Amino acid sequence: MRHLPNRPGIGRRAAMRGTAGIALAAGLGVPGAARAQAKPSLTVALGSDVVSLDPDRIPGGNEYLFMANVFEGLYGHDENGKLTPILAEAVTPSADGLAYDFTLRAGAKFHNGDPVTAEDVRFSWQRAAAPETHNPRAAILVANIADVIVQDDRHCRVTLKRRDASFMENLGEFFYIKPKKYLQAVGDEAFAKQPVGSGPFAFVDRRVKSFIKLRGFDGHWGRVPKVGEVMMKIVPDDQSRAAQIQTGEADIVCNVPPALVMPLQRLPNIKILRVSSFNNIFVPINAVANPNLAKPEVRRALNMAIDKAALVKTVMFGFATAQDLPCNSAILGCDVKVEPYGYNPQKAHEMLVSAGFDFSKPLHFLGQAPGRVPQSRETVEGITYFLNKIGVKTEVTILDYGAWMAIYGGKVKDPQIDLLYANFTDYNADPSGRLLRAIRSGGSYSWYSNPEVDAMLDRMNDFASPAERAPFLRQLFAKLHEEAPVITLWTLDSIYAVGKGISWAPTPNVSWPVLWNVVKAA
Amino acid sequence: MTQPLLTVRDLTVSFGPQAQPVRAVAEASFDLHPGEILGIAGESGSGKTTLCSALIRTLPRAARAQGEVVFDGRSLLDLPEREMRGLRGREIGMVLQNPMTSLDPLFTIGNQVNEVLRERGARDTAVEALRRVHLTAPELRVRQYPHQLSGGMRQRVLVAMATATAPRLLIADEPTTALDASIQDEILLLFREIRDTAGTAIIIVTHDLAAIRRLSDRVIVMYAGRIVEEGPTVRIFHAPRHPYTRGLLASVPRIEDDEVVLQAIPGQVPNLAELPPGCAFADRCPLAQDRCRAERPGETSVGARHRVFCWQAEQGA
Amino acid sequence: MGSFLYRRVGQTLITLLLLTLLIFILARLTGDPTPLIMPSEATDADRAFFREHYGLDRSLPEQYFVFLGNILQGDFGVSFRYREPALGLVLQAIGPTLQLSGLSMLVAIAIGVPMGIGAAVIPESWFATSVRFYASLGQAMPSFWVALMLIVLFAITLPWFPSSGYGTAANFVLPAVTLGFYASASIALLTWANMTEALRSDFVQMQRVLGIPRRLIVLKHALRNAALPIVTYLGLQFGLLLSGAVVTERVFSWPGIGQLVVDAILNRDYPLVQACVLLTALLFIAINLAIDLLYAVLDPRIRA
Repeated sequence: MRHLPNRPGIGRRAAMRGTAGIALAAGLGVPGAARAQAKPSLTVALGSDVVSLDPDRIPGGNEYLFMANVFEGLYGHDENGKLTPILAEAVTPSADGLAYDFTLRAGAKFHNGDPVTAEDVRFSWQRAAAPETHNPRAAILVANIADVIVQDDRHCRVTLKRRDASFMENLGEFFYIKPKKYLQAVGDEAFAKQPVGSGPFAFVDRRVKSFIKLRGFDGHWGRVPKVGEVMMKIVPDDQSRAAQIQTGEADIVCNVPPALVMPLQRLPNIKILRVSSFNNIFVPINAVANPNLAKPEVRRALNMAIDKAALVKTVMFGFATAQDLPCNSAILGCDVKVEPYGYNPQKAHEMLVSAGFDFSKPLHFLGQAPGRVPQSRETVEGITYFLNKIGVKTEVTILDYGAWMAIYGGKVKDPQIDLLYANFTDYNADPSGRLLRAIRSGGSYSWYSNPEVDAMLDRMNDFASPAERAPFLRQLFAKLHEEAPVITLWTLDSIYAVGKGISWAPTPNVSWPVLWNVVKAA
Repeated sequence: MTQPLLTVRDLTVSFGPQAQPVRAVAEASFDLHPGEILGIAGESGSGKTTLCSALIRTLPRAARAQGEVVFDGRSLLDLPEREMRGLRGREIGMVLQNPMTSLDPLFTIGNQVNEVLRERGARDTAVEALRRVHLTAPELRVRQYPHQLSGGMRQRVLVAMATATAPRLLIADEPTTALDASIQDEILLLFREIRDTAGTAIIIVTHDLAAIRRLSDRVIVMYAGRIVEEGPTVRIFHAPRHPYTRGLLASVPRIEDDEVVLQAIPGQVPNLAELPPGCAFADRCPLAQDRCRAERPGETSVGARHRVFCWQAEQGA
Repeated sequence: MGSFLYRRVGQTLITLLLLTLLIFILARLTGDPTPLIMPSEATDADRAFFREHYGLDRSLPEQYFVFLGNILQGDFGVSFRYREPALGLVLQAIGPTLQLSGLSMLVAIAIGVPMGIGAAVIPESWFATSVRFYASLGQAMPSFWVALMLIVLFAITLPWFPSSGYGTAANFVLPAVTLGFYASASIALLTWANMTEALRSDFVQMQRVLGIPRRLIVLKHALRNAALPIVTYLGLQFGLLLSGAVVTERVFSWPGIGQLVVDAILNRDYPLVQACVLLTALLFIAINLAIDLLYAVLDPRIRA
């Protein structure tokens, strides 16, 4: 199927077409007037394609650029990144945290017009948790749901098997509500090709590695977009993507690499927007295999040896937020007050010496080839510079993403690797997902093992409510700060380039573009 | 005596630096009358092919031609290239020495013959033209490709193309050298027939003396770029006056009793860049005298339309 | 002609068989796809299911024969990543690649062949010198740089063409010029060399002597004779373009085979890699066959 992905944006090209359009409309008379009232269409240039359109088959964080615009959960996040009611309008959790009574919003509809009912909530849980669905993320939330009891069309009670303080926060990303009638009518395969959700945008069409077309959903309960059609173009090359905003072929360009911000900023018709995200960049330390790195003092010293603020400025061009704790300060529990590591190379060196660190053995550092995370290579170079400065020798290997992932996520962690460059995104303010996988022994991405920390991590969600859990989380992060299982670096800022007629406040603390609040001047 | 069709006077073709030129052809002069068959004999390097190229102006860019060549009242050396192109293939035809490779392998015989007929304004059809040169089954041949024809057949095709417009002059450079002995005769007879029917004058250039003997009315013998003897065929073959001509005739292998006798001329053809001041043949000549080595021989008439360039021409008659 | 065809088809089948074995081995050499396909939240049970479902837990020879058997029935497997039949994905991508390759070849021929002919006919002229210059440029400039320069000049500075993407006729121009430019350089040189050769042939001398006009000598006789090696080269170039002008496709976001297969390799998506490579190889072989047939049409000596 061939479609016309080029839509007039801002710029010379648009001006040329715009005047031609007006002239044509004037010549034709009435049709021109009608056209002027239709909502403007939006063109967004993305850096990578999504693989799956099925919310129960999400292989990675990239899919959220689609899911977050097309599907919704009972609760989710607002334009400031705060937890807010979405498909539910209210919730009453039980005192023991094992049952949640949801009142669904009246007037919430799916894209095909069907109302969102409690039956859909129950069905969505069943499908997401069913073994045949092979939902790779079932373990996070839906597998822990004991039952969804439908009380009436707008009321349901969700009971959990075990207490889970992360439940509410995760509703937006791990429990999407799908249309029962539609799915059962068309079947799984057809649903994956032509998904129907309840979000501000409805799916229209896609061509793999080329584009995804969405349309603003006028029947949305509260976030009716001010744009009509959205064409998301896949433009993997950074320069080509930047060119899209320069020519006016795109209204919004996502994933602008920090290195390209300066030249783009100089152009008159372009605005650069930035928001903080929970995309953590850090360096896991192989404390398990290397006795040199077993002592926490050694690991804290490594943290101290690196001038993270300087790296943010030089390597990331300022488009990152340095973090002392292994999380962004907006993450639950990450607002605990600790004594920062600081930048003190002298002290770091002393600490290493008194801990008996063997300076003769170089640390083997695995980096990630450029392409997926901006400045991944330069970050590794910056870190090795500081480490070398205090006498810690390093041997750096840079591998392409697949090879790096095979090592980072390998079942048995390679004992030859001492340090890794890692990027790991928290999808929302709840830290349990990432910490369990990145810090707990045996976690798929964990290079650290400490039974005391493990015990804390295992208890992390066993609270009746987030409020009850909050002090424990602060304790946990304080402990992690002391243990220093990783060299903390920063969280990346999401950088967008938009054309002059666009006014938009991108949602913070997510790494994907949420588009319902984009306003485009006609 | 009719007017000569072709008059060549002091034709010289030089290569190399102006100060010390290498003369592939030096001061050649001869006449050709309408309907006459002239044979030019000589070893390779004698300049006979260069002479022909000079006549039809297909010399390489590096060559410089001087002298006078008058064809049918027109001075060929001064003619603009456009007019020369008009003459080639119409009034002057040429047959080259490699029939195996002189036809385009990718097009049919008919296509190529028709091309010539059409471009040069002949009125025959391809089949008629091929029949004229006695090519068997011409209706079949026009649909065939060159690789499907034998050498002799290809030569006939080439002759047909060269004579399509009944040219006044036909130049044939080694026309039979690449062919089988049995076919050679037929091609020579073809030439004779062309002269007899169309009155075409023919210059045949070859080192094959037997062919010259069979075909030509008159013979020119060349050595090291110069004409050394010219005369009627009968006279040249019976009573050659130049020692080189004699040596050439004697060097044809013959059978005496049960032996094959080869009597080669001793020595080698000289390097054209380093010619001695006198007669170029002096080093190899059995009759050479001091005068021969010092002074280049002038023209001596030794009979009716028989001339020779040799100081010793009077001897050994 | 018939036996010639049979022999070629037979050779093709054997080549394809060997190719399946080679691709099977090479794909698996890239590494284990499990960590790339399974997200971090997946449990061990999920991972085990994935491996079992795609037969990755069976022995290699067993996997190969299953693979071969499936191919013979037209089943190229399901892409690990996209969970769609690999064949469908490849066929979707082949269209844009074929279109771009075809157009680029036309551009290359339209530029390169006349240049080569002109330079061969007047070898000492300013024209020949500029052809040589053009050819050096074309062969020296890397395609991604040419692509970016064209985008800067003709999409950004002069908003004549879209800067990237696939969909309208205008989208074809910049990528086709990028690819065609490089190919045209070598075609120009090849044409030049072959035309010079052809113009030196005995039959060309004969035609000059016969007074055939120069136009016919150059464009009918010399060109046809020079065409044979050029046609071979065109087949090779077309095959190269098909297998994915990866860089050009990436810069122009062209949804073709090049991008598809590189991403598939980086993601260890075996079925997709296998399907891409096999189908591209099949296309390449088909093109070679077509070239051979074209030869037979052009050169009557081969038909004998």
